[in-house]
Amino acid sequence: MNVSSGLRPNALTRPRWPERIGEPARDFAAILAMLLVSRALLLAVGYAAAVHAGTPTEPLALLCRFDCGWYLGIAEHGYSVAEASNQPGATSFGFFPLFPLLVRSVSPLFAGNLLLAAVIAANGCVLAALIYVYRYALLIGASRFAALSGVALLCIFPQSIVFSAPYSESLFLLLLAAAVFHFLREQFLLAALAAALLSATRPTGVLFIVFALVCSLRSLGLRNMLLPWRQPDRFVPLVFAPLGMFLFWGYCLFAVDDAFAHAHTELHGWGYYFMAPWSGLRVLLKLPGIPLIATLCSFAVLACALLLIQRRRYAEFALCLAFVLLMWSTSTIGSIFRYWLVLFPIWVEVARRLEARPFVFATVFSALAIVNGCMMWAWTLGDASGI
Amino acid sequence: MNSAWRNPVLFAALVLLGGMYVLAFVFFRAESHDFIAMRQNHAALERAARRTIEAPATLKLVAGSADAMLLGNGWYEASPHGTWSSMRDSWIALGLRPADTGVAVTLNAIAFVARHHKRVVISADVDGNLLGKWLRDQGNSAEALAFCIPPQLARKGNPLLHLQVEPIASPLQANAGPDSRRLGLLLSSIDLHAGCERKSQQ
Repeated sequence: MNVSSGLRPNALTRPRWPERIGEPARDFAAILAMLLVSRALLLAVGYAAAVHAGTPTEPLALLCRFDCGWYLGIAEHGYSVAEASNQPGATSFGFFPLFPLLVRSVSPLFAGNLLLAAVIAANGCVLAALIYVYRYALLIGASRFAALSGVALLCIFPQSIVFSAPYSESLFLLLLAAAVFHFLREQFLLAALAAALLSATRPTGVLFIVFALVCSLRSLGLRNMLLPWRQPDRFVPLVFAPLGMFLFWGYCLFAVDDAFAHAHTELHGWGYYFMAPWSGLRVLLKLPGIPLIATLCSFAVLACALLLIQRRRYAEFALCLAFVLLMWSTSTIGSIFRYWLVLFPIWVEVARRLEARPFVFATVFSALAIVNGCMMWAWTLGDASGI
Repeated sequence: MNSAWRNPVLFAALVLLGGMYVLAFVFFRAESHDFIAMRQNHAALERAARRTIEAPATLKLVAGSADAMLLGNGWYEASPHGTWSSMRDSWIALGLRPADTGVAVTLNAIAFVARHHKRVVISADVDGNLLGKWLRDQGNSAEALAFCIPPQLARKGNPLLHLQVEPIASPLQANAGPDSRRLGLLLSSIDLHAGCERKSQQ
């Protein structure tokens, strides 16, 4: 060892740190940076909106809008039959329990500060979710650039502030991406665990069954699908997927003698009821304001989802189609972009398509970022279009 | 576990879990009651009990009327013309004092009959005792609904009247106007008279 030279051995030939840490770590750093930068920009827009409105607020408070109070209320006091004073029939049973449970379980780490705990939990979940999305993209054959671009799209997608707010979308995206990823890798127990937790996070989590069914049908063929005892492993996630929802129903029956308390409070408090998608779509297209814009947006989402068919990602397409049909089956859509955020296979596919067209990608990216900024402004001011 | 047994055992476990879902769902359906409706009806009954009514009387169910507080679950805010029922099932606490005679009830109501509905079926009951059933179409949608609360039900006092309208639709859905709310019956008033036979108007 040449100590007298003052140079460490191989100091000149050693790779600089970006090369040294390897691709996975570099990509993780990129994902983290994208998340942090997008959050910082959104918070800056939010702060500007608050200052403009004459109500400057601290960053944490900026993140607590709309349903935040419901989630924090459940995390703090559990479920309650108390109806919102300005919204008869609206109770906390309108929200599934896994995210509030997570917040409650981590809150002792933050001296019982529930809002801080919720924000940290949501951001932790979205970071893990983005890593899963990135790994999913690589798994289905996307390049590293396309995988990172897909993650970037998710970070700047309009209304993506909910990923960092006390909302269940971040946890939902994490569990959906985990369930899809592990299912594709044939790690069925992990997929089953994620799927069961998914249906305890949001009722739409049960739609994972559609993905698992189509995916199994493609892998096994119809003949083997009809002989499930030959390869039962593949059916474990399918059977476990509704477990979270059933457990919540059981809790509701125990708590208020109404297993379907969620559906009933959604009906009485929020006016949501189901109808056939073709009837619902007819109504939605006649409604003014947000439901109309959200419905038009759903067409754009469906058009993007069609790209999945061209790529033969039938299971992912079926999952996205099920989401869209479910939205069309409701009496109204309360959010323009939020429900589509979690359909990550679409955004990964869009990124893959635009990989060879950097100018188009930059244009789409910028347009989404601008809309996201406007949405953040509306979110901060409590305007209904912000959610 | 022996690999020969693994698949059959796993499959059996999955079938068992699937079967448990079915059983649980049937149990949930059988044991569940709409908790919001029950709470709102209970509150309506409590309000009605504080302000009992003796037949003959007319209850006005229009905006600003004190009688609108008798409405339980399944109604929109009262308007100047009356109050629309908002879903298939709706309830009203009549607040009647216990009486040994039956009570004749006339609901002055207009049913919303959408163009694509051939007819609308309306029924009224108290505690599951059917009191009347009516068919309404475009021609008779504004006819009053008359029925009798028999003495055995009137004796208990403060009956909770349950109305069922099937099917319901929104004017927007039926191309009949911009209103996106689902509408059942527009109830403007209820006439109550002491003494009646158990006979309903069909």
